[in-house]
Amino acid sequence: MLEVIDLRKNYPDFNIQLDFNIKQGEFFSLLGPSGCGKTTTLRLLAGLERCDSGTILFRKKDITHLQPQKRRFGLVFQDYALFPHLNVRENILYGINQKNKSEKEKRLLEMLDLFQLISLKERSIRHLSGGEQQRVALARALAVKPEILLLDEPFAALDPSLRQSLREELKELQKKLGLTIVFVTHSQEEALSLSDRVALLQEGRIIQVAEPFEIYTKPKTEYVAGFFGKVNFLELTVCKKTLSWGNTTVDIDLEDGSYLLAIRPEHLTAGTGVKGTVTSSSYLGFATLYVVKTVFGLLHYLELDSGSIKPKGTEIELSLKKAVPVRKTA
Amino acid sequence: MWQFFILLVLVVVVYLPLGGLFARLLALPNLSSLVFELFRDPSLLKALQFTYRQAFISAVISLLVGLPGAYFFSHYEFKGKKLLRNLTMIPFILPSILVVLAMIIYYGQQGFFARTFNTKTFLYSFSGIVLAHVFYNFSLSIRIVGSTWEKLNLRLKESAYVLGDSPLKTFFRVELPLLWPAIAYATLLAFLYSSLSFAVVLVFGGISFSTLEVYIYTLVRRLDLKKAHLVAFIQLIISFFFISVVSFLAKRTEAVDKAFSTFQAKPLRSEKRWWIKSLLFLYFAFLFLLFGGPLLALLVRSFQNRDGIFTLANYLNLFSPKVERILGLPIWQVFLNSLLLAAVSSTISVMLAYVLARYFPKLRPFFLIPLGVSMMSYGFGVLLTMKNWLPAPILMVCTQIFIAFPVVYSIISLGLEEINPEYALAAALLGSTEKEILKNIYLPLLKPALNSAFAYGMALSLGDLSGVMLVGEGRFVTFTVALYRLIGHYSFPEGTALGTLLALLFIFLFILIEAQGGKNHA
Repeated sequence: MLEVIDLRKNYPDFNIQLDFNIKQGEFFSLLGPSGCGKTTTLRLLAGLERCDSGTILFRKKDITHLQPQKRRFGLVFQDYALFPHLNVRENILYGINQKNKSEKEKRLLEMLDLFQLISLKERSIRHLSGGEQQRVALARALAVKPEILLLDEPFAALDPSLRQSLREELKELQKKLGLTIVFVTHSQEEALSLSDRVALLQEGRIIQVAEPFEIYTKPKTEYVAGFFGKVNFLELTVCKKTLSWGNTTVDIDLEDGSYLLAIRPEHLTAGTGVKGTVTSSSYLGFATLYVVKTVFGLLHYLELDSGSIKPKGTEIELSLKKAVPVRKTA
Repeated sequence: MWQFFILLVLVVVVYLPLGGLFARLLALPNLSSLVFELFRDPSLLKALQFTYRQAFISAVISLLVGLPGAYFFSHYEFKGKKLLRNLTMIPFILPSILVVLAMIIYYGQQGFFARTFNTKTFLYSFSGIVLAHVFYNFSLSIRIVGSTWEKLNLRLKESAYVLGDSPLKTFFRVELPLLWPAIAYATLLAFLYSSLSFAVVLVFGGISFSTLEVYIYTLVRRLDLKKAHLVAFIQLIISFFFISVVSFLAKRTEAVDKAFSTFQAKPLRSEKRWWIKSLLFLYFAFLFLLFGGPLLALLVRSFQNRDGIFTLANYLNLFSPKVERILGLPIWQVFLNSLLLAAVSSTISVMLAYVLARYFPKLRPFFLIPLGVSMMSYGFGVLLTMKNWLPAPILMVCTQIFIAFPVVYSIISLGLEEINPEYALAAALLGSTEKEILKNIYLPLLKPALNSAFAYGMALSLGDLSGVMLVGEGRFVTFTVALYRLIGHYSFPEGTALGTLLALLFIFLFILIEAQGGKNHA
């Protein structure tokens, strides 16, 4: 539905170059650390920023130079940018150009109903909580029946407990209305839990676009692997589809050669293989994350619900459940 | 307890005269017939009408002149922006009598402007008065509207664009509704200041125009004290009305600004489009021609003799017997009088303001009242209530505190607001005494605000003419009175010399204020 072809935007110390496409009804996340260009990308899609070259096609139509007013995209900013001089009702109605009063009223009621805002209809936006503001912002954007909804870190300004429940609401809403959403976030957790596909950005380039499961389990680069939580990188040799791991060997479906492997802390377990000593631990509640000194250097090891926390200096032996190849080194 | 004593001092200095004005009014015999008579007096009605008509026109023109500046400063980045912004502030802080002199030099019959454009001078007319008031007040809208406009979140506009509005429609549906409190605030403030104008109207108004301020002054001079009393009271009531509207609008503006403060402002990019650059140039050239010219002319003329040849004689003549005869005392004594009076009253204001801002933060609106009260009403109150039991120099200091205190107070109280009270708590927990907390925490953190407040207080006091003339009864001569007398005696060469010195002093004070973080408060 939306195709972005070699879109470029240059800044003195930074430039963006993008290729991706988004399907109808898809929840598409642009993920990356701050300063990677994800918000600029969203602004380019909305038409608020001019690109230096490249093309944006929407339903096969070139909209690269179309004004934001004519794109009919919905946009929700991180700070919501609700109009402070208007109340909830007036904010939602802002974009509706319907001459027909009853149509207008109908759309308003639909939105108020959808976002459970009826009781707040006449309230000044100064007197809304963060979560309420976000719902008004979504209602305002959706009231005009946009072709695509662009969301710029909509949960960043909210506290964590609220974030969780609003995330679920958003996902439901998307399914219910069949919305196409482009979602900008720096939270890997949000991206993984919400998206149909995630695009990971680094310094203005997309490094990998994939479904959440795939991007987590088959990272294309060290950067991608490292972005989704802690990871141990080890360069190991595969010989006859086996990997030597301390005293033992582990089966792995790879051709012979040297590989850089990404090993997640939860893919190590207590067992036989590599010996080490605990150098530090952090208790996470559902699990404990240890740093273990081994022949491979320091390894992060996550132990689920072990009953007790191992003190510093404890001898421990780790077996390997799974390793993901990032690239072949020889 | 001592804090309450300080509060009492302020109440006596500032509010007793105002209260006295009211109390003594009620004690006047056959008050009702006096009031009745007064409102049939065409000269009062004329003064009333003129005061508010010229103030309205001055305020609207000030707004129109300032708005483009507010737009440019809030939307574009360009070379010399900071300097230009500071330069536009200068007219606002100069003493009005100095502005009068500069305008005579530039726009007067012999002035550069009249000669260059070959016109007759329009100074001594309605337009001259309005021009002087615009000179003063245009920077208010640049500052107030500009700062709100700058903070107005770019994303609000962008949201409107995405929802389908053109930039023009967005201006009317989003920007203007959010800007109007600032616009109304700036305009009404200009209106208030213009309505309280004294020096400008005294000199340019001649016999045909007088504001209520000038009217009261004339009545006192003619010893028509009962009538002066009544008019001063009427003026006071009207000022109270406008002050409350102004403070309401100030609050609205602040609320809008606060609503934006959670948003990040987008850094402005340097402006490259040639037509914007030319518009910028034209605007500032216009401002310079209109308002920079008079000040430059003052400077140039102070170094010229009647034939336009360079000379220092104007400055040396300030010490001549002729000038001493006009002023009634030697010039060095004028310097001493002015600086001493300003320094003493500014110091007292700063100390009062610090204590009151720190220990009575809830009384803030009460302390700001004098900001919009007519000097003549207050001064008349001083004459009524204090003249008989306090010596003249103390009365002078009182009037100067009245002028300086509200601004000094608002600078210091803003400075205090920025200090986290937890610092003092932390220090107390670490074992500091109240005195040590003051010395080690409040004073160092507040130093910029205190310096800036002191300099502002000096400037306001040095710039005062009406208070000194009314309460000093002509015996007390400061810079401004000296300038007024030199203008009155057509001693323009010496006037330009004294005026230039005074302007330099004010620019110095302004730089001092700016260097302390530029805390300006109207």
